[in-house]
Amino acid sequence: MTELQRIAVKILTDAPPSLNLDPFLAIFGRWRTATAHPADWVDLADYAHMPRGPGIVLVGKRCNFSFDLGGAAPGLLYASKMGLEGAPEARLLSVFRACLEMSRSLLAEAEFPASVRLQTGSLELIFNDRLETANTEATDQQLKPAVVAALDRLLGPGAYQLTPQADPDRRYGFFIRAARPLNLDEMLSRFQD
Amino acid sequence: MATSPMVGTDRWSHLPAEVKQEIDIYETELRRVQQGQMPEKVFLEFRLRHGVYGQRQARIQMQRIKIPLGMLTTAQMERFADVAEEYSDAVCHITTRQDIQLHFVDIDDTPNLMRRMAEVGVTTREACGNVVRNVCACPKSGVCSDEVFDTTSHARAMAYFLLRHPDAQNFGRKFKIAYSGCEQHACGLAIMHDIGAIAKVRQGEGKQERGFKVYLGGGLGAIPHQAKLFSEFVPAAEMLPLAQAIARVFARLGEKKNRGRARMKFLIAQVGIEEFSRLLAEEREKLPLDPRWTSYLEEAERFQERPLLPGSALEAGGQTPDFLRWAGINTEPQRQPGYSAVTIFLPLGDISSEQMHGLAGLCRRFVRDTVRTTVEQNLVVRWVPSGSLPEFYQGLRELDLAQIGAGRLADITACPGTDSCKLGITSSRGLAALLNEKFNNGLGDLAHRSDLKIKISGCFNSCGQHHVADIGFFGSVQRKGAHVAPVFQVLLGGTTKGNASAYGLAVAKVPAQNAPAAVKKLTDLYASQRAEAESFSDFARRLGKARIKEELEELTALPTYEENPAFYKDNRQPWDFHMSTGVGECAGAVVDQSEFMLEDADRLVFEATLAFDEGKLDNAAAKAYTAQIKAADALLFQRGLLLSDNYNTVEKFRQLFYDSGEFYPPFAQSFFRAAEEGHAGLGTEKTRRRIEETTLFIEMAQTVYSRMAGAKV
Repeated sequence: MTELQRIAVKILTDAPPSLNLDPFLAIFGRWRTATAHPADWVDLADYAHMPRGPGIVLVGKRCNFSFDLGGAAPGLLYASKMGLEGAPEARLLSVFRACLEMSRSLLAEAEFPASVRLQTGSLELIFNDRLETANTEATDQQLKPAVVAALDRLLGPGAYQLTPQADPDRRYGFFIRAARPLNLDEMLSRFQD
Repeated sequence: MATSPMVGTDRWSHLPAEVKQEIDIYETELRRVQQGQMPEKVFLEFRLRHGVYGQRQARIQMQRIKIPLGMLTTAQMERFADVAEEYSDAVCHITTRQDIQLHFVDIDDTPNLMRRMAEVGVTTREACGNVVRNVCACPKSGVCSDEVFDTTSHARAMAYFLLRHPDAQNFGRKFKIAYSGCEQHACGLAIMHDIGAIAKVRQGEGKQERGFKVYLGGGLGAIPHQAKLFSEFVPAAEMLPLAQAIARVFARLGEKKNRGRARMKFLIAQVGIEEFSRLLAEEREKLPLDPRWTSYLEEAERFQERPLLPGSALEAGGQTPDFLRWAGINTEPQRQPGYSAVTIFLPLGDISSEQMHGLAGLCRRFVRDTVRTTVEQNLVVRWVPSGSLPEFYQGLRELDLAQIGAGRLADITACPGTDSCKLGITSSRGLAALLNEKFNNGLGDLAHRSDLKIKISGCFNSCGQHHVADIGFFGSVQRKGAHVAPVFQVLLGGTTKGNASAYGLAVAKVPAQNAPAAVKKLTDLYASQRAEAESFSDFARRLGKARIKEELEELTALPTYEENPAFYKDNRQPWDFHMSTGVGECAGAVVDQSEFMLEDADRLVFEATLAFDEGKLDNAAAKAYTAQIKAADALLFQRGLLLSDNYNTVEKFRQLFYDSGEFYPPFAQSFFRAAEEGHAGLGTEKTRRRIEETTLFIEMAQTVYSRMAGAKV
């Protein structure tokens, strides 16, 4: 599994599906001009016209970051595309960290809708590559230990519940519910040592 | 550089050998160009022929995938959903030619993307480039209640006959084919294609013979051409050899160097349809017999899609008002009793991976593999038992795919524009999204009008088909002082009816911010002043362009940046469209004079359209030429030439803007041609073309003028 690059993490929110996405257009419109960002931003894609669609997507060469209206609930979706290194656990932690850091930056923006609250206890983890990580027993045997190790560090051992994606046609991944939701800073502090 | 772990393994050994080899070669060439072993220019056309198109964003690709006739199976839909979420941004975009496009694709992912599509029988081959593009056909072929016959097998045979055909690999430009099942409906838009085939039958000896009324040399693009009638009846058995002969003549005689005049429409305009027909007959005689010309015909006669479920009638009563409203607009009874064709309205042609997956699942329950994309960027699901419509509707609602509006005013066609296209000038999708939002909030009374169509292109190239809309828009720019604003030309008088039988002409230019207000103004005007049963194009003709321009007058003014900076942002783009140029006051004064001259050019071309409408052709041609002179003078003024110098405008323009490559050559050539032709006795078609070319010449002058000040356009 040397090409494990496409990993996505989504932090769910309490935003209604009808949320006006214009603030994200403004915020990502500014972010995309940052030339030195490791994501290597390319542009943004505006899918606000699609109910339960990808929302506003800040597209980069290495990752995308979006306010996404699809899935179980609207949320902040970080999707890695390339540049991950190390063992699967290290790659997973790297993706979690990037997602948390970008989410924190987003929340700090003045235009971020005040009514939207992050549900940091409800996360989605998606392995976005059916060729490399098909939703099979074999993949599960290979990757689940790394997933558990990464989540143990992020949320604490046994402090969460993992629900796997049961449909084999959908991407391999998990819905994660934390026993006690931690805020972004608390989770990021777990990366300090 | 990450390389695919699958290359060189048996992972793809189940693919047909020739398909596997073709994609392996593509990947090898990709790696070669990445390692500097192949010239970029050569690889460019090579990758285009595999549907890989560079986006305006550096190092990012759009993958176009051909869907012949728009026909999709559920397995293909699921695969599209998969590759869109893994390699793109989880959106499948339906194009105006029934393809599906994925945006923001990394070129390194394209080989595996192609292999995965090949697993479900889909090729990206010849989706872009100077080849035969996707063959289009009515999405309701075979189920339409008033078609002459089902064109499905004929169009499909044409698509696969020409795919990879050696006679169709050496064109100077792209080549498009469309089939229509009848003359009266717009579904196939046959008349705007290089080959437009309309189903016909004639009485043969003892039986009816199938064939096609064939038009040749149509095309939109910057300079639209109505196709010329080639034959009232070409027997079905002659269609494939005819296409092969056309391909050979076009490849041999079509322009290769000047891309702006390389479509087949220019060749036919140059030699005339009679001479072109003679060349075709000569070429047809030389063709060696190919069994594929006719091998499909027997199957074509028998071809009939099979439903999954038995037909049933929709029970009267007990339906919700929402369902009844949706069914009234988005469904149509099929020719086969007990079945309905359902149109799924996709705003801006977009469907998410999640929705596509869900829809495939829904289709598996109700129909066989009978889904088609449409040129209006929607999906049609055929063979839904009418009695199952409430349940099908409920399934669509759960996927957020039950939006009402298919075929209505809210069903806007738009090209990608500046979202991803290198040629885009303005955000056509931004305008379409804004209109969509307004139709949902505030302009709801207009949304479901069935008598009007809006089509939007982000530049003059007409990928959004603005020429064949009741209200068409194409994007441009206008400079005011040191700032550049996005604007849209408003075109009226076009129609998709009769297979796109009339093209519109520009009547006014409005700032992008005012485009929604222009739609409201025009539709209100139509609603309040139309005569009974009068179509919009008839209404626009009756009212006259001068009156319509007058009505739009208040929306045409562009305030200065200082007065209202919002006009210098494009729709749904909260950042400035332009960059401040920092030119000094002296330059500012010079700019004012050029702006004035460009305004004058706009006025003159409008007067030319009025004269054209009144049948004063010589006058129209003269005014259009004078408008070109004005626009050229505006640019020459920027180079320090004064009108009082009595210079020769054409000569100086050629020297300073054409020879230097600063002005888009085809538009400059139209100016030189106008200078040579004069303006007397040109006839209707040439005069009309001159007006269209003049509009484009002025828009290009605006663009060059904006660039000259260093503004970002």
